[in-house]
Amino acid sequence: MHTFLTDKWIFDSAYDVMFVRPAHVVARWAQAFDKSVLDSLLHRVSKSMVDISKWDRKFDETVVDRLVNVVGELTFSAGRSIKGLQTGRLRQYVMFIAFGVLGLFLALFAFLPRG
Amino acid sequence: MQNDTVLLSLTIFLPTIAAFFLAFFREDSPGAVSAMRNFAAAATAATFMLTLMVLSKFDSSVAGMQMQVSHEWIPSWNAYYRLGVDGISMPLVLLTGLISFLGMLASWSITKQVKGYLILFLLLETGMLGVFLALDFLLFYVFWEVMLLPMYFLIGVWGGPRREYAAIKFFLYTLAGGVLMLIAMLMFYFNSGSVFDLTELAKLASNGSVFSPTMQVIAFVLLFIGFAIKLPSFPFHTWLPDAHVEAPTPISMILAGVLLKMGGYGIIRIAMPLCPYGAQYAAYALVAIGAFSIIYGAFAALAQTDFKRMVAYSSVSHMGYVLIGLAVWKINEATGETIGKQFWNMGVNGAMFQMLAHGISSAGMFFMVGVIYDRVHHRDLNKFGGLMQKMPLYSGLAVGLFFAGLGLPGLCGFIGEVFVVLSTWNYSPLLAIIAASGVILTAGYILWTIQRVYLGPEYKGPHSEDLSEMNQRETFIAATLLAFAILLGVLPNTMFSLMTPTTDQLTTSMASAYETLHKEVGPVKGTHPDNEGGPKVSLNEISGDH
Repeated sequence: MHTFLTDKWIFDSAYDVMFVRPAHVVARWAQAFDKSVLDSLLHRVSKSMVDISKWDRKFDETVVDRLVNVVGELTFSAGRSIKGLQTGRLRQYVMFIAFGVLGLFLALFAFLPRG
Repeated sequence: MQNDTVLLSLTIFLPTIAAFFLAFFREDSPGAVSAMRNFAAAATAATFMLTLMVLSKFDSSVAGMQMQVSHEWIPSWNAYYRLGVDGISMPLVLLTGLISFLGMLASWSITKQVKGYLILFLLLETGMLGVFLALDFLLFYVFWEVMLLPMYFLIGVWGGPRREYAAIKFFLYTLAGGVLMLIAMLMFYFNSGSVFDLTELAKLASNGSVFSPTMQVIAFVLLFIGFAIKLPSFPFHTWLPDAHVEAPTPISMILAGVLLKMGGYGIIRIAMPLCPYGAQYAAYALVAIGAFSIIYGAFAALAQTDFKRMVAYSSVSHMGYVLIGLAVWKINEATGETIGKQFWNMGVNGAMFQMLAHGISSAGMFFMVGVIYDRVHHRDLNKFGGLMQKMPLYSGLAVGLFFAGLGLPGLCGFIGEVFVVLSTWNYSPLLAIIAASGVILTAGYILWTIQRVYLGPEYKGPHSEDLSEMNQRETFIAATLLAFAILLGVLPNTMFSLMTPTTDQLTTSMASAYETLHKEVGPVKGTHPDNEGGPKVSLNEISGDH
């Protein structure tokens, strides 16, 4: 009883417990909400943006660029296989010319209309 | 007309011209830094003088747009170079001029790459003045975006330890808001038949067949989110603490003093007049968000240990009052008629005044934090104390400015808060009680901060030998801000007389526009499809196919 009277009817400590401490607790909740909910949402959005852009780069390099490279490779391999025709043997070339002329004349007589 | 063009255009572009000339200064000569600073300070002072000239030509009894300027800009898009000033933009233009000038004076603490800093600062000022004076939606949008880039560099280069993170967070967040505003702008442009003129769009707003109620609701939501990011309002406020903490002191002053007001200005200039139906539809939500922002910002400020972060959250809290004041529009559900329009007027005037008051008190608070940070290089609230002994003049002015932030009667912060809270009672007594209880929390965290920083027996933190009193330049800045805080607190009619005719006209036109639309649509019963009242979502109305 004596303490109660000398301690200003414990008003100070009552105020502290009833108002000051809960205010601080709620204040910490607000701050934590800001950091772990709102900001973390923002960070997750930005991280997913970065991930999407990384996927986009991978897609670009593996799919789109691959199409371009395949076209180039086809051209090269076509050229390489036709390279086999160039044997360098002149008699072979003359024979091809002769057969070619013969073939053309035959075709000419076969398809030209008689008249 | 010629004179108005020259005056308003010069007000906007004089900082840019000065920035252009600043580029020719040579940085290597010995007196260069001081010369550049003085030149830039003179430029901002000259701009402030120009805003005062605009004030002298301003007739505060006229409600409509004054000193209107209209020149062809991009004729094929029907975009005009339209400027003008009215009761809503006049006080904000003055605020911009003043805070930019004081911020430039505070920039003496910037020591590296001074030329770049000053040029970016001046470009930022152009953007800010352009936003407040523009009357064409495209021009407004251009100036709005012009503000973003200098801020990014100013925070990202001259800021604190986490400056890159803060700068990019600020930039992308506000840019996203700007994109939402762009979408709304295009909605208005295509629905109205290629009109960018804000005054004409406001006139068209009462015509339900041009801007259907659904479209107005959607446009208002888009615009509101864009401006709520800037205001800032919960839950779009998280960029603010980081941006403020990492920004250098003068940039924090500009950010809190002027840039945040752009959010409120956008709502009152664009979102509300152009979408009165949307504004009424969302009114309760806006007041609720505003009330929650006040409480949330105040609680978060209470939990901070970083001085600047605490002031940043106090900005979030104070801007909640602005949002409430603008939105307390009560209508009779059956007829669409506005009930207690004088309270809505009080709210809008209170919100406008709160913007001005917060501009001064917040800039002052950030400046005071900057002064002590320049000396002891830390902002930890638990390591301060006893500054009143070592720096009495600084502490006295700081306490005065913090009391202005607290809303002590007799200083500027009180007027805005009290008008807003009074007007909210007409709208929703519950939200008024919540808003009023925010005052207790505000007093709590500010007084506790003053106790921790300025009172107490002795300063026990680091660098105690560096605690020198404020020099003349710093005293000038702080004293000017405190003088204006006292002036606005004791004679608020200096500002109210400028804005009241225009805000009256705004609320009247919005109320009548809403009544017209309300009669077309019928009372809003929610979104149940069987109701014949209320807006119905239709994609045609959004894309403007008529």
